[in-house]
Amino acid sequence: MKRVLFLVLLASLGCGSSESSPPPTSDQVPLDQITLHVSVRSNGEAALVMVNLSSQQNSLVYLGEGDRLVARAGAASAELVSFGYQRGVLLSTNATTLDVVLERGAARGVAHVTLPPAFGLDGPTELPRRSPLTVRWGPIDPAGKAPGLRIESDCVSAVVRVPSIDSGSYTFDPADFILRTPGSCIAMLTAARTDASLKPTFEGLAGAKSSGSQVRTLTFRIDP
Amino acid sequence: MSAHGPCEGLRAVRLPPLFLLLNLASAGCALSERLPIEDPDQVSTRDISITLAVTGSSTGTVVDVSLTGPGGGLWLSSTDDVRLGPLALAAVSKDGKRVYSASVPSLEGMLSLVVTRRADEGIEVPIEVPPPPTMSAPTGVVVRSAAIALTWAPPPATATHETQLHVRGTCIAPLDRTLGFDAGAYTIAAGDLLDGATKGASCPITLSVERRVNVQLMRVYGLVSQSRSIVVESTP
Repeated sequence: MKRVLFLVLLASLGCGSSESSPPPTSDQVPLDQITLHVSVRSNGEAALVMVNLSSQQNSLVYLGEGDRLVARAGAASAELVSFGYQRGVLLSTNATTLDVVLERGAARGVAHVTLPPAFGLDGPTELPRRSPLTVRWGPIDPAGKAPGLRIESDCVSAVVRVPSIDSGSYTFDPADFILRTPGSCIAMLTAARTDASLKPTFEGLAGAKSSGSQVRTLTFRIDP
Repeated sequence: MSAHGPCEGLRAVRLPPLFLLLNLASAGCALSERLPIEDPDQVSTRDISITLAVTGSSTGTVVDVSLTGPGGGLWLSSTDDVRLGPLALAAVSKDGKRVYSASVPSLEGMLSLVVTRRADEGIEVPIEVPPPPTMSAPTGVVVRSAAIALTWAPPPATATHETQLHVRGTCIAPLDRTLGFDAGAYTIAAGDLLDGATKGASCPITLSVERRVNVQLMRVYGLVSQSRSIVVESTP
C-alpha cells in the first residue's frame, strides 16, 4: 500500500519513469559517435587499463553485448571485463604505448594511448628517525616532469611533494616527518609520473580521452 | 519607572551568565543588545574568558590580552592588574576593542599570565613564549632549482612549540610547511619552490621560521608566535 502511495506521489510530482531509465548500450550507438575514456596506470610490469564510454547524447554508455573492448600493447592483448560501470583489465606489459580497441564485428574504433616515460625507483629499506630520506629515480624525464611523491605510514603523517624539476632525486628533510605514534612502522613511498600534455589519438570513434601514469612504490621501515 | 529600565536593572545584578540571559530574555530584553556593564567589579572572574596574542618578530614583541565577560570586552577596575611575566599590560583601545597591551623589544621563557583582582579571585596560568628562531642567511644569491639549507637558533630541549616555515616572494608560489620537530635547521629541497605567475623570474624571497604555541588553559585561549625572517635574492 505504501509503495502504491509512493508511486502516486512521484507521479503527482511529475517524476516520470523515463528519468530512471538505464544508460544506452554501445551497440545502440554508431561507433563514430562513441568516445572512449581510458585510464592507464603502469607499474613497469603490468598496466591497469580502465575504460568507460560516452556518446554525444549520453555521458555514460554501457558496453553492449555485440561489442568488445580489447587492450593491446605489443604482443600482449586482453579483453576488458566489467568493473561496475567501467571495463578494465590488467595487461602484462611494460610498454608505454597501447591501444584500446572497440570491436563491433569487423568494424573497429581505436584509441592510441601514450604513457609518461617509465622509470626505476631506488631508496633505503630503513630510515632512522631524524635522518633525511633520499629517493632516486631514472631515467629523468626529458620534458623535465618529476614524479609526484607521497609517503604514507601509520607512525608519521602523510607527506606529499611535487618537485618542480626532475633532477632524478629528492631528499626529504628529517623534519618533514611529523610523528603520529612512537615506535617503528612500515612506510610506503609512491612515485607517480603523469603528463596531462599526452593526448590520445583515435580512429573510427568520435573521440578519445586518456590519463596515463607510471607508478612505482618503495617500502621502507621507519625506526625510532 | 526606573531610569535604567528592567534590562539595565537585571544587568546590574551579579548573576551566573545562563541565569542572567534567561532573566533578560524573560524580561523582553534583546539578547543581541550589547550589555554594557559599568562596574567590572560586578563581573565574576569565573565569567571572564581571556584571549591572548603574543606576536614576536625582529621588530619587537606585542602582547595583547582581551578579557571578555557576559557583556563583551571589558577593562577591569583601576586597582586590578594584568601582567605577563615582568610586563605590566596597559588598558588600551585597539580597533575599537578593549584590550590590555604592551610592546617590548623581546620576550621569551616560561612566563605567568596573572590577572589580579581586588573584588574577586585572580587568574594565573603559565605561558610558554618560545625563544626567537634567529636565522642565519644563506650566503649569496639563492638558486631555487637547488636545495636551500636554512639554520636558526635551536630551542631548548624542553620546548613544546610547533614550528612552521614560510617562504614568500613575487616570483614564487607561497610555501608553508609545518615541521615535525625543531632542530634549528631545515633544507628546502631542490624543486620545492614553484614558479609564481611569471615563470623563471628572479626576485627577493622572504624565508621565515615561526615558533607557535597554542594556548588553551582554564579560560585562557590564544596563540604565542615568535617568528624571524630573512630576505635573500633568488634566481630560477
